[in-house]
Amino acid sequence: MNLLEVKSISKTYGEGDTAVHALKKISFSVPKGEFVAIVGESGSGKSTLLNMIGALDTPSFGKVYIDGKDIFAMKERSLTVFRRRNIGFIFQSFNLIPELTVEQNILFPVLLDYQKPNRRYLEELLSVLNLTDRRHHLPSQLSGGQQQRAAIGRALITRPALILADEPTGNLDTQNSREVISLLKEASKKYEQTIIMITHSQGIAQTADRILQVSDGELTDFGRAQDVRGTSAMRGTERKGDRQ
Amino acid sequence: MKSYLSLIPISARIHRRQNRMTLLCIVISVFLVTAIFSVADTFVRATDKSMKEKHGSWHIRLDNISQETGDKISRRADVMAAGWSDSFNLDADHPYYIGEKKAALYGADETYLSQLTSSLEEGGIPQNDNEVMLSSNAKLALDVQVGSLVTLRTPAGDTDFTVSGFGSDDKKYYQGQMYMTAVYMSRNSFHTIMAANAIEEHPSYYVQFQKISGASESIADMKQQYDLTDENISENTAVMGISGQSSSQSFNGIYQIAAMLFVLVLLAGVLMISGSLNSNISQRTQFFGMMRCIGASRRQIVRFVRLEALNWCKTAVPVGLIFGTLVSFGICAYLRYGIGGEFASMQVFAISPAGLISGMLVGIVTVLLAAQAPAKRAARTSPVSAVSGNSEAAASKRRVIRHNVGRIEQTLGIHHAAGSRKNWILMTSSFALTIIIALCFSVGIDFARGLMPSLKSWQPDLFLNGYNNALVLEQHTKDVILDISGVDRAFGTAYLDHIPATSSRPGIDYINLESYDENLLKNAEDEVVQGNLRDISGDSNKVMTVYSKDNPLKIGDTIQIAGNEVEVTCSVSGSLFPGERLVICSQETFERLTGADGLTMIGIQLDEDADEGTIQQINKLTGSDVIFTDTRVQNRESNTTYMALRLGVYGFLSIIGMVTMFYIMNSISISVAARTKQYGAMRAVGMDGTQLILMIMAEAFTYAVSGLICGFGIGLPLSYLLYDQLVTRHMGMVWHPPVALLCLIVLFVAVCAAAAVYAPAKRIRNMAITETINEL
Repeated sequence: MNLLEVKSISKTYGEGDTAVHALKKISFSVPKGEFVAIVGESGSGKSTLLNMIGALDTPSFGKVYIDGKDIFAMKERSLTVFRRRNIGFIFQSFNLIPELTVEQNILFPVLLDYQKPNRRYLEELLSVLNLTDRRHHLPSQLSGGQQQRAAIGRALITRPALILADEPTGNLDTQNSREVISLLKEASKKYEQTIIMITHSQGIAQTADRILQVSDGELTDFGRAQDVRGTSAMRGTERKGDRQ
Repeated sequence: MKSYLSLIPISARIHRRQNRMTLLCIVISVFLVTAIFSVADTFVRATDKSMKEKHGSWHIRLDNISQETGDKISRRADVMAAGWSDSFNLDADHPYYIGEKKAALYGADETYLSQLTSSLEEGGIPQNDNEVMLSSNAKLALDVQVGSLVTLRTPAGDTDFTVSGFGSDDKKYYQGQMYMTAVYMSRNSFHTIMAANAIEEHPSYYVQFQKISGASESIADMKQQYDLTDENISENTAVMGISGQSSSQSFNGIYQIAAMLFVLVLLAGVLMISGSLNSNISQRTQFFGMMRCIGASRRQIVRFVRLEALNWCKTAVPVGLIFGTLVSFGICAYLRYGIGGEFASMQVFAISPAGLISGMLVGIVTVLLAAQAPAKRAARTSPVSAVSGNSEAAASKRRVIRHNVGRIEQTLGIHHAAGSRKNWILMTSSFALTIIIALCFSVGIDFARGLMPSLKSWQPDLFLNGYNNALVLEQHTKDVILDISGVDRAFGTAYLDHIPATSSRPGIDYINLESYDENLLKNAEDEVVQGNLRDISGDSNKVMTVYSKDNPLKIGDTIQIAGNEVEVTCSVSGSLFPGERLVICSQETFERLTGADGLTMIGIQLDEDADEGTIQQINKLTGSDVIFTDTRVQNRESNTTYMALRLGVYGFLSIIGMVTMFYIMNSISISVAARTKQYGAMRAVGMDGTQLILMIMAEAFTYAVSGLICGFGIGLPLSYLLYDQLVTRHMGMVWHPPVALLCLIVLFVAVCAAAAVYAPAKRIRNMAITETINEL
């Protein structure tokens, strides 16, 4: 069963001669529990695609279905609640709230939903993320890897069906990158979550179940990661210094 | 582009929307100062004219100088005009009469009457020794006109004169009274009459300088040259004061207050523009970072920000000046036609150079001063932090939030407000200062109201008063007056002072006794401070007293007067007669206690049908021992003064309120702009628009609530203290929390907070989430 279905979405910025077609009629679907990597050169439209899937931005044309629901047919408020409960976001620059502790940052989406936090699940997450002894620290008191782990915790706390990660290892060193990816994969398996991750790293992309490439607003499905290992297309997406 | 500064107008065109608030702040500052100073300037000019009409246009008066010194002074180059004048019997305590009325005699030369005072109102000034000019009240009091023959009766004999005209050098003194008339004659006639009655003359010499601005130097020079002392010289305080040349302390006090208000408005302007510039700069951190990255020095950034601010003046100052001048026309029109009185002579469409220059100066000076801090802040921007992210957020210290109760968005909002101590204190102080000023000024208005008897419901339009407070008016005169067409109400009161008495309170050996008729007792109900005046009516043993810090008599005291005992059962805040140890009783009790049945005073309130005929009829009822006073003009002037005072106070409070509002709006805007990226992330992880607004509202209302607590916490005790010292102590009224004002303040603060939230919340909500995440 497909958790995500993207149907012919296009995004155009500007009008007339100055129009920029960021996405051109992209369609694909992702089954539940799959770990998908999106690769592509800078400015190819990867982040735009991820923002559409996460309902952070609206497409010019096309539809996105998550768990069978047309997300752009929802009203602003319902969409916010839907996003809060069903989609977890992980950003390259962590985007933790500087005034909140690690624990408060992780609980933030639950608190926004005016729900009582599940303490057992929180403890479990803190333990999995190896942040138990850092739970009362502020983001400014953590290393980059710890901050990203906290951001992963925030994305997992509502047990969303879909996790969207925009270059989650972009600001991390090799060791931390490896840890973060393995955590994401572990979570994906443990909680049956679908993960869509943008990355520039060939090594990280190859750990995914499936690789999609966006180039000039168009999508190419490379299929299973092990089948595309070493292809010229993959090498083209890799940035200098991203080899791991 | 010739230089990097050519970027300023280009940047201004592109950032038109962001610059709107800053431009608005400059326009408001210039507008306020232009409007205030234009109105003040027009008022001063009108007052100058009316002061000269009322008090004469002479600048100094020299007493006890010889004719020779006077002649020398008149020939000085810095003297424009000089003339002699002498007077006698101004208090009407000598038996000099013209017709049936008491006469005050003046001997003055033509220069004094025509040039140094604008005395003449009708006819001409005396041209020979047989002519006199009478004060205008003589027309009604003596029923005479120009050309009539009048006889001046003096102890040494009678002299006949022809009336050459009407007027006076002190119009206010004679205005509205029928008891005494001024008689202006030539110096020769005056000398003859004084000599015949063996009265010594004391002529004074009046001097008008060429330029009032050089008056101080001229006076000092004259003192030295003619051996004059301070005792010889008196100044025309009203005229000198209005031109800023007076040595009078009270006038200089007024100028000090004006200077203080100017500084306050200047400070408010600096605060407002500075806040707005700060907001503008913080929203453009990346731009200044980029400038630094591509090689702009710190000094160049400072120059850029300053010139950018001055560039705004190009549009904002003229707009402020035009708007301020137009509003000053409106205020002047309201003062002239809506309030009248002493403002009736104000010009409506007067362009004030003083107003325009001060507005322009304030605009440019405040902008330069206000640009100082933001310019330095922009220059300090690190190239790296500016291009990489939000320096504001990174720089501020973080403290852990305690989130145990309440919703997370509210907790975060409160934390955003309280997180920066300095900002919190500034915002709280801003609200608190406005509240404290409003509470204190309201006490000032209450005090001013208490000082103005004309605002009391019983204030008469006309008074008949026995000379020296004698009980010469008969009871039935009041009834006769009530039957005259045009009379609305009349009340009578009797007064006797220093009546021997003893009291249960030690130290009382006399009292001053005053009677109230039923009309007055009814009106006194509004002025009761303590006790009940129900038992005072009719022939009773109950009396009341006036609440005053100097009055030893208190409620519960008993007083023995001529073998009768009365008890003080009530105290009121004021009475018709001033003085200590005042005991007020009913007319019946007064007659029983004193055995006297006459009245000292009859107060008359006129209705809309009253005309000169009404006044004539009432005047005819008065004998030579009764002073008839028409206080209608005085009452109107007092009312207009009070209205103008209120207008001034409320105007000033509005300015302070507006400045506070803009300051709060700017600060919230800065705070939101600084957290744009953070808000974007919050929205991405599930914060909806309403929660976002609630978070910003929580921040704004934290400032509002702390401002209210602080403002009320300091303002209310201060209001009580001031009220106690000014009003309760002198007028007896007891302080009550000003509930209506408090509600108004709460409403104002709530509106400020809500207005501060509106624009930033709208801005953030209208931004796409992706845009806010990528912002900065």
